[in-house]
Amino acid sequence: MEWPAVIDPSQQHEILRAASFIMDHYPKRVQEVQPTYHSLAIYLRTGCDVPGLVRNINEEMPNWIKSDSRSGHLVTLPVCYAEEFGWDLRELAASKGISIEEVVRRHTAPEYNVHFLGFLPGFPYLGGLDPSLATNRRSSPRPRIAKGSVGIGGSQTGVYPSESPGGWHIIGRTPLELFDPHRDPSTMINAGDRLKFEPISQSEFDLIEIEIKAGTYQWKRELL
Amino acid sequence: MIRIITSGLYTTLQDGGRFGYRSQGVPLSGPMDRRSAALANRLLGNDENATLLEFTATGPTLLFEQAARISITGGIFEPQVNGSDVPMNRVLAIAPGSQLTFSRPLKGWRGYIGIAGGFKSEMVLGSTSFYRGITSQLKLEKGGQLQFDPTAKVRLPDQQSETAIATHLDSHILEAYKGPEFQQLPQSVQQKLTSLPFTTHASSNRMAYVFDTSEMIRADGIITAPVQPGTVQLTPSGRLHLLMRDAQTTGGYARVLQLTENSMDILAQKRPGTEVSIKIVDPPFDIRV
Repeated sequence: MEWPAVIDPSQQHEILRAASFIMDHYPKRVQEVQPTYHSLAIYLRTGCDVPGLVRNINEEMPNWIKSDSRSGHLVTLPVCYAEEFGWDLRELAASKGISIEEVVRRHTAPEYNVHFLGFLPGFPYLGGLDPSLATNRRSSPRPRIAKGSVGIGGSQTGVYPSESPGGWHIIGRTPLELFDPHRDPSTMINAGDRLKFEPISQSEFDLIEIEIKAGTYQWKRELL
Repeated sequence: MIRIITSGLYTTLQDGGRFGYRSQGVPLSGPMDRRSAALANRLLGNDENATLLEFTATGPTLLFEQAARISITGGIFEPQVNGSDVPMNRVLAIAPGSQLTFSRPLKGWRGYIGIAGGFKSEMVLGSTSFYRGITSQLKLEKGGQLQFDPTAKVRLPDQQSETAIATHLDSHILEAYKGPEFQQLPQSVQQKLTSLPFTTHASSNRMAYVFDTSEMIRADGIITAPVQPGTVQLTPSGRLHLLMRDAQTTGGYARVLQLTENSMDILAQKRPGTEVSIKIVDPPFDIRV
């Protein structure tokens, strides 16, 4: 299903309502869905009557997705913006003519929209980066970005849930596990949530890592 | 138990795939050549999605500590047990202490080893298919072990004829549907896509086959949108990415074509440097909503 090719929070809510409508109403015909900025992929089960499903969706869904119901959590993600973790922080601040502290202030100020997850297991596509922080991707990607790294690429910001190659400018790191296939649920940040970055010191980072290992760390999540 | 004497170049366990987690960014995985994998399981009377072993370019050397019933399908890797040739595409009885080896592929690029009852492996998010960050293993390692149920019986032995099997190894034509961004391409690019021969690039892997088009054709990036195995992306720098089983779930390159399932099996058997061409076919129904 396609929507106008724009990145828009209210359109995003409509797409997520369509996603849950389809998963709730046609479980025998639909295996899973993947929402993105302006389209929703609907993956079908073998033997699905496609024209019949399309007819059902067209007839049954339009009014429902216009409602303004929404669900989700406000998630607060602790991030250490020390230069040990924020490899490109100094260079990015210099290129903007502002201090490192100001980069951190502008990055932690917004409540970001979690549009959807993709790219890597648990990777959140976020909307709401302060335009003054937008920076073109690095000309040559790094072969290894550390797990938990927080980066800026173009007008997007995000968190690498696992070690991976990547071309974004790295400005900090979270000690939290965004994706753990052995945890239920595997992802603590989901499409439709709002996300806030909270600056922490290196010693707080170390402490949280210990708490995670001990299984005592509690994520900061509240219902919207 | 089976000991892994040498692991081969890139050897993994795969089952039917990891469905239901794409909205969390989890790829499907599963065998690259589903046709050959399904045959390996079918010969043994296994479920078509039972866990089997997939190897690429170089087969592993396996030492069987227990008797086993296995099947070998896919590319022509001239399997040998204790130095004697054994046939592909049929059930083989392996005696305890036997060693299974492979040559370089005469044809094809990926091989499959099925075993009665399927290999036993860690199930994560509903699947045993290896994937970085999901399963604890990324690929099989020399010195490791493979577990299976030695008491599993071969059920319903299927007398599949060998000639009916390997035809897709010889095909060099990939059939594809038009992708969401196909119509936005200039006519000349549309035409080149379906008339030029393309050469598979050495960087091809389980995520994607890459074709270098020498910048004869290119397409602008798009706002990140869904992709799936079989999606053909055309990049701004003029490369084609033919997404395969471990493909990510979303992408920002133009989705110009979507390969048929059969064509993915054909492509999965192509080694780097192979020439293939693309032919557009009509989808089985009108899917526009």
